Amino acid sequence: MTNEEKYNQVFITCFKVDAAELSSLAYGSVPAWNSVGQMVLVEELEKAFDIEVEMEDILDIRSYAQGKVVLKKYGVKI
Amino acid sequence: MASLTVPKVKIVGLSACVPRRVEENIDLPLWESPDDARKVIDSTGIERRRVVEPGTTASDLAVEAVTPLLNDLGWEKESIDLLVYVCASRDYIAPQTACILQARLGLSAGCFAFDLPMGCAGWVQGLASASSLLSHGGLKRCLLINAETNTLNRSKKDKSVRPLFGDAAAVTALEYDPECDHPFEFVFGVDGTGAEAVMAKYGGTRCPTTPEALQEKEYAPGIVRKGTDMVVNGMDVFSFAIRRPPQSLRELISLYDIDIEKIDWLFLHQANRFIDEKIRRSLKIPAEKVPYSLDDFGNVSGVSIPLTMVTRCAGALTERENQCLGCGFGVGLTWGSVRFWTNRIICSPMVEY
Repeated sequence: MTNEEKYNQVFITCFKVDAAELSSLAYGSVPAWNSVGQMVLVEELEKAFDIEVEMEDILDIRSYAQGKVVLKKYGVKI
Repeated sequence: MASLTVPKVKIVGLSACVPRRVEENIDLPLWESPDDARKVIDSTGIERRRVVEPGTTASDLAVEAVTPLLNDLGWEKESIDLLVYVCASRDYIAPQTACILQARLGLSAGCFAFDLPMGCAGWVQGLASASSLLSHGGLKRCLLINAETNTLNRSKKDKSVRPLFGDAAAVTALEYDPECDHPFEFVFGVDGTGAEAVMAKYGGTRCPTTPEALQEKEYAPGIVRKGTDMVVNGMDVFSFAIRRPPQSLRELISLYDIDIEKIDWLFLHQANRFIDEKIRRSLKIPAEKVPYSLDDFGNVSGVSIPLTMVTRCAGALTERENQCLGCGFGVGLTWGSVRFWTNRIICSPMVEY
Protein backbone atom coordinates (compact mmCIF):
# COMPACT_ATOMS: atom_id res chain seq x y z
CA MET A 1 0.00 0.00 0.00
CA THR A 2 1.40 3.44 -0.90
CA ASN A 3 1.49 6.31 1.57
CA GLU A 4 -1.33 8.00 -0.30
CA GLU A 5 -3.49 4.88 -0.13
CA LYS A 6 -2.78 4.56 3.60
CA TYR A 7 -3.53 8.25 4.12
CA ASN A 8 -6.80 8.03 2.22
CA GLN A 9 -7.85 4.92 4.07
CA VAL A 10 -7.43 6.66 7.43
CA PHE A 11 -9.83 9.44 6.42
CA ILE A 12 -12.30 7.05 4.80
CA THR A 13 -12.39 4.88 7.93
CA CYS A 14 -12.47 7.73 10.46
CA PHE A 15 -15.18 9.75 8.81
CA LYS A 16 -17.07 7.12 6.79
CA VAL A 17 -16.75 9.03 3.52
CA ASP A 18 -16.19 7.97 -0.08
CA ALA A 19 -12.87 8.50 -1.82
CA ALA A 20 -14.51 11.07 -4.08
CA GLU A 21 -15.23 13.30 -1.08
CA LEU A 22 -11.69 13.35 0.26
CA SER A 23 -10.36 16.41 -1.54
CA SER A 24 -12.98 18.71 0.02
CA LEU A 25 -12.95 17.07 3.44
CA ALA A 26 -12.28 19.46 6.36
CA TYR A 27 -13.02 19.89 10.04
CA GLY A 28 -16.78 20.31 10.44
CA SER A 29 -17.59 19.37 6.86
CA VAL A 30 -18.99 16.04 8.05
CA PRO A 31 -20.61 15.39 11.47
CA ALA A 32 -17.95 12.83 12.41
CA TRP A 33 -15.13 15.37 12.09
CA ASN A 34 -15.69 17.08 15.43
CA SER A 35 -13.29 17.34 18.37
CA VAL A 36 -13.52 13.60 19.06
CA GLY A 37 -13.06 12.96 15.35
CA GLN A 38 -9.93 15.09 15.45
CA MET A 39 -8.46 12.91 18.21
CA VAL A 40 -9.40 9.72 16.38
CA LEU A 41 -7.88 11.04 13.14
CA VAL A 42 -4.59 11.99 14.79
CA GLU A 43 -4.35 8.63 16.56
CA GLU A 44 -5.04 6.73 13.33
CA LEU A 45 -2.48 8.77 11.38
CA GLU A 46 0.07 8.13 14.11
CA LYS A 47 -0.58 4.39 13.91
CA ALA A 48 -0.61 4.25 10.11
CA PHE A 49 2.69 6.08 9.71
CA ASP A 50 4.36 5.18 13.03
CA ILE A 51 4.81 8.81 14.06
CA GLU A 52 3.98 10.97 17.08
CA VAL A 53 2.23 14.19 16.10
CA GLU A 54 3.41 17.05 18.33
CA MET A 55 0.88 19.15 20.26
CA GLU A 56 1.44 22.24 18.10
CA ASP A 57 0.68 20.31 14.93
CA ILE A 58 -2.53 18.59 16.03
CA LEU A 59 -4.79 21.51 15.24
CA ASP A 60 -3.09 22.20 11.92
CA ILE A 61 -4.59 19.00 10.54
CA ARG A 62 -7.80 20.84 9.72
CA SER A 63 -8.44 19.37 6.30
CA TYR A 64 -7.51 16.43 4.11
CA ALA A 65 -5.15 18.72 2.18
CA GLN A 66 -3.54 20.35 5.26
CA GLY A 67 -2.93 16.97 6.80
CA LYS A 68 -0.53 16.13 3.98
CA VAL A 69 1.46 19.29 4.71
CA VAL A 70 1.70 18.43 8.41
CA LEU A 71 2.77 14.85 7.77
CA LYS A 72 5.55 16.11 5.52
CA LYS A 73 7.17 17.56 8.68
CA TYR A 74 7.39 13.99 9.97
CA GLY A 75 9.04 12.68 6.82
CA VAL A 76 5.85 11.22 5.38
CA LYS A 77 5.61 12.09 1.70
CA ILE A 78 2.18 11.68 0.15
CA MET B 1 1.69 33.98 34.76
CA ALA B 2 0.98 34.34 38.47
CA SER B 3 3.11 32.30 40.86
CA LEU B 4 2.84 31.52 44.56
CA THR B 5 5.01 29.74 47.12
CA VAL B 6 3.28 28.60 50.30
CA PRO B 7 5.45 27.33 53.17
CA LYS B 8 4.63 25.66 56.49
CA VAL B 9 1.60 23.68 55.32
CA LYS B 10 1.33 19.99 54.51
CA ILE B 11 -1.21 17.52 53.18
CA VAL B 12 -1.97 14.98 55.89
CA GLY B 13 -4.88 13.03 54.48
CA LEU B 14 -7.14 12.29 51.55
CA SER B 15 -10.52 10.64 51.05
CA ALA B 16 -13.14 10.31 48.33
CA CYS B 17 -16.75 9.38 47.78
CA VAL B 18 -18.51 8.43 44.54
CA PRO B 19 -22.12 7.51 43.83
CA ARG B 20 -22.86 3.81 43.83
CA ARG B 21 -24.59 3.91 40.44
CA VAL B 22 -22.33 3.09 37.48
CA GLU B 23 -23.17 4.25 33.96
CA GLU B 24 -21.32 2.31 31.25
CA ASN B 25 -20.59 4.46 28.21
CA ILE B 26 -20.92 1.56 25.79
CA ASP B 27 -24.57 1.13 26.85
CA LEU B 28 -25.67 4.75 26.41
CA PRO B 29 -28.72 5.18 24.16
CA LEU B 30 -27.01 8.05 22.31
CA TRP B 31 -24.78 6.24 19.88
CA GLU B 32 -25.50 5.73 16.21
CA SER B 33 -23.62 2.43 16.34
CA PRO B 34 -21.35 0.39 18.65
CA ASP B 35 -18.44 1.56 16.48
CA ASP B 36 -19.44 5.18 17.17
CA ALA B 37 -19.38 4.44 20.92
CA ARG B 38 -16.06 2.61 20.80
CA LYS B 39 -14.35 5.49 18.98
CA VAL B 40 -15.32 7.95 21.70
CA ILE B 41 -14.45 5.55 24.52
CA ASP B 42 -11.07 4.69 23.03
CA SER B 43 -10.12 8.31 22.40
CA THR B 44 -11.28 9.68 25.73
CA GLY B 45 -10.35 6.58 27.74
CA ILE B 46 -13.62 6.91 29.66
CA GLU B 47 -15.32 3.52 29.96
CA ARG B 48 -17.79 4.31 32.73
CA ARG B 49 -18.78 6.98 35.20
CA ARG B 50 -20.51 7.29 38.55
CA VAL B 51 -23.85 9.08 38.55
CA VAL B 52 -25.85 10.39 41.53
CA GLU B 53 -29.43 9.29 42.17
CA PRO B 54 -32.06 12.04 41.96
CA GLY B 55 -32.02 14.06 45.16
CA THR B 56 -28.36 13.52 45.95
CA THR B 57 -26.20 16.63 45.87
CA ALA B 58 -22.46 17.18 45.78
CA SER B 59 -22.50 18.11 49.47
CA ASP B 60 -24.06 14.72 50.30
CA LEU B 61 -21.05 13.05 48.68
CA ALA B 62 -18.79 15.46 50.55
CA VAL B 63 -20.24 14.51 53.94
CA GLU B 64 -19.66 10.82 53.17
CA ALA B 65 -16.06 11.53 52.23
CA VAL B 66 -15.31 13.65 55.29
CA THR B 67 -16.56 11.22 57.94
CA PRO B 68 -14.05 8.37 57.48
CA LEU B 69 -11.16 10.76 56.97
CA LEU B 70 -11.77 12.50 60.30
CA ASN B 71 -11.87 9.09 61.98
CA ASP B 72 -8.69 7.91 60.30
CA LEU B 73 -6.85 11.14 61.09
CA GLY B 74 -8.12 11.14 64.65
CA TRP B 75 -9.10 14.78 64.25
CA GLU B 76 -11.66 16.23 66.62
CA LYS B 77 -14.26 18.24 64.71
CA GLU B 78 -13.64 21.23 66.96
CA SER B 79 -10.01 21.31 65.83
CA ILE B 80 -10.91 22.21 62.24
CA ASP B 81 -10.81 25.95 61.75
CA LEU B 82 -10.93 26.22 57.95
CA LEU B 83 -13.45 24.64 55.55
CA VAL B 84 -13.01 25.38 51.85
CA TYR B 85 -15.72 23.92 49.63
CA VAL B 86 -14.77 23.92 45.94
CA CYS B 87 -17.87 23.21 43.92
CA ALA B 88 -19.76 24.69 40.98
CA SER B 89 -22.92 22.64 41.55
CA ARG B 90 -23.95 24.26 44.82
CA ASP B 91 -26.95 23.11 46.85
CA TYR B 92 -28.77 26.47 46.80
CA ILE B 93 -28.33 29.90 45.25
CA ALA B 94 -27.99 31.09 48.85
CA PRO B 95 -26.54 30.40 51.32
CA GLN B 96 -23.13 29.06 50.44
CA THR B 97 -22.92 25.30 50.77
CA ALA B 98 -19.90 25.56 53.11
CA CYS B 99 -22.23 27.01 55.75
CA ILE B 100 -24.59 24.06 55.41
CA LEU B 101 -21.66 21.67 55.57
CA GLN B 102 -20.33 23.29 58.75
CA ALA B 103 -23.61 22.43 60.43
CA ARG B 104 -24.00 18.96 58.90
CA LEU B 105 -20.45 17.99 59.79
CA GLY B 106 -20.74 19.44 63.28
CA LEU B 107 -17.76 21.73 62.86
CA SER B 108 -17.07 24.60 65.21
CA ALA B 109 -19.03 27.84 64.86
CA GLY B 110 -15.61 29.48 64.97
CA CYS B 111 -14.66 27.81 61.70
CA PHE B 112 -13.82 29.98 58.67
CA ALA B 113 -15.94 28.43 55.92
CA PHE B 114 -16.52 29.48 52.34
CA ASP B 115 -17.30 28.24 48.83
CA LEU B 116 -15.08 28.54 45.80
CA PRO B 117 -17.09 27.98 42.60
CA MET B 118 -14.15 26.62 40.63
CA GLY B 119 -14.26 23.92 37.98
CA CYS B 120 -11.70 21.52 36.58
CA ALA B 121 -8.71 23.47 37.93
CA GLY B 122 -10.42 23.58 41.32
CA TRP B 123 -8.13 21.31 43.28
CA VAL B 124 -5.04 23.35 42.45
CA GLN B 125 -6.87 26.63 43.01
CA GLY B 126 -8.48 25.41 46.22
CA LEU B 127 -5.16 24.09 47.49
CA ALA B 128 -3.56 27.48 46.84
CA SER B 129 -6.32 29.34 48.65
CA ALA B 130 -6.52 26.99 51.63
CA SER B 131 -2.78 26.56 52.12
CA SER B 132 -2.19 30.31 51.86
CA LEU B 133 -4.63 30.93 54.70
CA LEU B 134 -3.09 28.20 56.84
CA SER B 135 0.47 29.33 56.24
CA HIS B 136 0.00 32.39 58.48
CA GLY B 137 -0.32 30.04 61.46
CA GLY B 138 -3.55 31.44 62.86
CA LEU B 139 -5.59 28.66 61.34
CA LYS B 140 -4.20 25.20 61.96
CA ARG B 141 -6.38 22.58 60.28
CA CYS B 142 -8.35 22.65 57.05
CA LEU B 143 -10.71 20.43 55.14
CA LEU B 144 -10.41 21.25 51.46
CA ILE B 145 -13.44 19.66 49.84
CA ASN B 146 -13.81 19.26 46.10
CA ALA B 147 -17.22 18.03 45.04
CA GLU B 148 -19.23 18.01 41.84
CA THR B 149 -22.45 16.59 40.46
CA ASN B 150 -21.73 17.21 36.80
CA THR B 151 -24.56 14.95 35.66
CA LEU B 152 -27.18 17.26 37.19
CA ASN B 153 -26.52 20.19 34.88
CA ARG B 154 -25.64 18.37 31.70
CA SER B 155 -28.19 17.00 29.26
CA LYS B 156 -28.67 13.25 29.23
CA LYS B 157 -29.53 13.64 25.54
CA ASP B 158 -26.26 15.33 24.61
CA LYS B 159 -23.69 12.86 23.32
CA SER B 160 -21.01 15.55 23.36
CA VAL B 161 -21.06 15.73 27.18
CA ARG B 162 -22.86 12.76 28.74
CA PRO B 163 -20.10 10.19 28.06
CA LEU B 164 -17.46 12.46 29.57
CA PHE B 165 -18.62 13.65 32.98
CA GLY B 166 -19.21 11.94 36.31
CA ASP B 167 -20.00 12.83 39.92
CA ALA B 168 -17.69 12.59 42.94
CA ALA B 169 -16.32 14.30 46.03
CA ALA B 170 -12.88 14.27 47.62
CA VAL B 171 -11.38 15.75 50.76
CA THR B 172 -7.82 16.95 51.25
CA ALA B 173 -6.84 17.46 54.88
CA LEU B 174 -4.26 20.20 55.36
CA GLU B 175 -2.37 21.18 58.46
CA TYR B 176 -0.14 24.06 59.51
CA ASP B 177 3.36 22.80 60.32
CA PRO B 178 6.15 25.34 60.92
CA GLU B 179 8.69 22.51 60.55
CA CYS B 180 7.46 21.45 57.09
CA ASP B 181 10.44 21.23 54.71
CA HIS B 182 8.64 21.53 51.39
CA PRO B 183 6.48 24.48 50.35
CA PHE B 184 3.67 24.25 47.84
CA GLU B 185 4.72 25.93 44.60
CA PHE B 186 2.10 27.15 42.17
CA VAL B 187 1.62 28.86 38.84
CA PHE B 188 -1.75 30.00 37.52
CA GLY B 189 -3.39 31.40 34.42
CA VAL B 190 -6.74 32.51 33.08
CA ASP B 191 -8.16 33.38 29.67
CA GLY B 192 -11.66 34.79 29.95
CA THR B 193 -11.90 35.23 26.19
CA GLY B 194 -12.58 31.49 26.23
CA ALA B 195 -15.44 31.76 28.72
CA GLU B 196 -17.97 30.38 26.26
CA ALA B 197 -15.96 27.23 25.62
CA VAL B 198 -17.56 25.64 28.69
CA MET B 199 -20.71 27.46 29.73
CA ALA B 200 -24.13 27.03 31.29
CA LYS B 201 -25.62 30.23 29.96
CA TYR B 202 -29.00 30.40 31.70
CA GLY B 203 -29.77 30.38 35.40
CA GLY B 204 -27.51 33.21 36.57
CA THR B 205 -28.25 36.92 36.72
CA ARG B 206 -27.05 37.75 33.18
CA CYS B 207 -29.47 35.28 31.63
CA PRO B 208 -32.07 34.29 34.24
CA THR B 209 -33.99 31.07 33.91
CA THR B 210 -37.01 31.57 31.69
CA PRO B 211 -39.61 29.11 30.41
CA GLU B 212 -37.80 29.18 27.06
CA ALA B 213 -34.48 28.33 28.74
CA LEU B 214 -36.07 25.16 30.09
CA GLN B 215 -37.23 23.96 26.67
CA GLU B 216 -35.16 21.24 25.05
CA LYS B 217 -33.79 21.98 21.58
CA GLU B 218 -32.01 19.70 19.13
CA TYR B 219 -28.79 21.34 17.97
CA ALA B 220 -27.54 18.37 15.95
CA PRO B 221 -28.31 14.65 15.81
CA GLY B 222 -27.60 13.32 19.31
CA ILE B 223 -27.24 16.78 20.81
CA VAL B 224 -30.39 17.86 22.62
CA ARG B 225 -30.22 20.25 25.57
CA LYS B 226 -31.85 23.10 27.49
CA GLY B 227 -30.50 26.60 27.94
CA THR B 228 -29.63 25.77 31.54
CA ASP B 229 -27.51 22.77 30.55
CA MET B 230 -23.74 22.96 30.34
CA VAL B 231 -22.42 23.37 26.80
CA VAL B 232 -18.95 22.12 26.03
CA ASN B 233 -17.55 23.46 22.78
CA GLY B 234 -15.35 20.48 22.04
CA MET B 235 -12.88 22.05 19.65
CA ASP B 236 -12.35 25.19 21.75
CA VAL B 237 -11.70 23.05 24.82
CA PHE B 238 -9.49 20.70 22.86
CA SER B 239 -7.49 23.60 21.46
CA PHE B 240 -7.08 25.06 24.96
CA ALA B 241 -6.22 21.76 26.60
CA ILE B 242 -3.40 20.85 24.26
CA ARG B 243 -1.75 24.28 24.62
CA ARG B 244 -2.17 25.70 28.11
CA PRO B 245 -1.60 22.78 30.53
CA PRO B 246 1.75 21.69 29.10
CA GLN B 247 2.83 25.32 28.93
CA SER B 248 1.78 25.80 32.56
CA LEU B 249 3.71 22.73 33.68
CA ARG B 250 6.79 23.90 31.80
CA GLU B 251 6.52 27.29 33.52
CA LEU B 252 6.30 25.57 36.90
CA ILE B 253 9.27 23.33 36.15
CA SER B 254 11.35 26.24 34.95
CA LEU B 255 10.39 28.74 37.68
CA TYR B 256 11.06 26.34 40.55
CA ASP B 257 13.99 24.56 38.89
CA ILE B 258 12.30 21.16 39.18
CA ASP B 259 14.25 18.06 38.21
CA ILE B 260 11.56 16.23 36.29
CA GLU B 261 13.36 12.89 36.67
CA LYS B 262 12.94 13.08 40.45
CA ILE B 263 9.19 13.49 40.27
CA ASP B 264 7.28 10.50 41.63
CA TRP B 265 3.87 11.40 40.22
CA LEU B 266 2.28 13.77 37.75
CA PHE B 267 -1.42 14.11 38.56
CA LEU B 268 -3.26 15.55 35.60
CA HIS B 269 -6.87 16.68 35.56
CA GLN B 270 -8.69 13.72 34.07
CA ALA B 271 -10.05 15.45 30.96
CA ASN B 272 -9.47 12.72 28.45
CA ARG B 273 -6.73 10.24 27.83
CA PHE B 274 -5.70 11.56 24.42
CA ILE B 275 -5.01 15.05 25.79
CA ASP B 276 -3.38 13.82 28.99
CA GLU B 277 -1.13 11.41 27.12
CA LYS B 278 -0.03 14.20 24.78
CA ILE B 279 0.84 16.31 27.83
CA ARG B 280 2.70 13.42 29.46
CA ARG B 281 4.72 12.61 26.36
CA SER B 282 5.54 16.26 25.68
CA LEU B 283 7.11 16.42 29.16
CA LYS B 284 8.81 13.03 28.67
CA ILE B 285 7.40 11.60 31.89
CA PRO B 286 7.18 7.77 32.04
CA ALA B 287 3.67 6.33 31.81
CA GLU B 288 3.91 4.65 35.22
CA LYS B 289 4.25 8.06 36.89
CA VAL B 290 1.03 9.44 35.43
CA PRO B 291 -1.96 7.57 36.88
CA TYR B 292 -5.46 7.64 35.41
CA SER B 293 -8.84 7.26 37.05
CA LEU B 294 -10.91 8.53 34.14
CA ASP B 295 -11.50 5.03 32.83
CA ASP B 296 -13.73 4.33 35.84
CA PHE B 297 -14.95 7.80 36.82
CA GLY B 298 -14.73 10.10 33.76
CA ASN B 299 -14.11 13.80 34.13
CA VAL B 300 -15.17 14.76 37.67
CA SER B 301 -13.97 18.38 37.45
CA GLY B 302 -11.85 19.52 40.39
CA VAL B 303 -12.28 16.18 42.14
CA SER B 304 -10.28 14.36 39.49
CA ILE B 305 -6.80 14.86 40.97
CA PRO B 306 -7.55 13.86 44.59
CA LEU B 307 -9.80 11.02 43.37
CA THR B 308 -6.93 9.70 41.25
CA MET B 309 -4.60 9.92 44.23
CA VAL B 310 -7.00 8.02 46.49
CA THR B 311 -7.99 5.32 44.02
CA ARG B 312 -4.71 4.78 42.17
CA CYS B 313 -1.83 5.75 44.46
CA ALA B 314 -2.97 5.10 48.02
CA GLY B 315 -0.18 2.58 48.65
CA ALA B 316 2.64 4.93 47.71
CA LEU B 317 1.02 7.90 49.43
CA THR B 318 0.61 6.09 52.74
CA GLU B 319 3.99 4.31 52.73
CA ARG B 320 6.60 6.85 51.63
CA GLU B 321 7.50 10.39 50.69
CA ASN B 322 6.37 11.51 47.23
CA GLN B 323 7.32 14.49 45.14
CA CYS B 324 4.32 15.32 42.97
CA LEU B 325 3.21 17.66 40.24
CA GLY B 326 -0.44 18.48 39.66
CA CYS B 327 -2.11 20.32 36.81
CA GLY B 328 -5.76 21.33 36.60
CA PHE B 329 -7.40 23.05 33.65
CA GLY B 330 -10.88 23.83 32.41
CA VAL B 331 -13.90 26.13 32.67
CA GLY B 332 -13.08 29.80 32.72
CA LEU B 333 -10.86 29.16 30.96
CA THR B 334 -8.42 28.70 33.85
CA TRP B 335 -5.45 26.53 34.65
CA GLY B 336 -2.98 25.97 37.44
CA SER B 337 -0.01 23.75 38.22
CA VAL B 338 1.55 22.86 41.53
CA ARG B 339 4.51 21.02 42.99
CA PHE B 340 3.64 19.41 46.29
CA TRP B 341 5.05 16.74 48.57
CA THR B 342 3.34 14.08 50.62
CA ASN B 343 4.92 12.00 53.35
CA ARG B 344 3.07 8.94 54.67
CA ILE B 345 -0.32 10.56 54.60
CA ILE B 346 -3.64 9.02 55.56
CA CYS B 347 -5.64 7.75 52.58
CA SER B 348 -9.09 6.61 53.61
CA PRO B 349 -10.59 4.01 51.27
CA MET B 350 -13.02 5.37 48.69
CA VAL B 351 -16.62 5.41 49.87
CA GLU B 352 -19.61 4.54 47.65
CA TYR B 353 -22.85 6.33 48.45
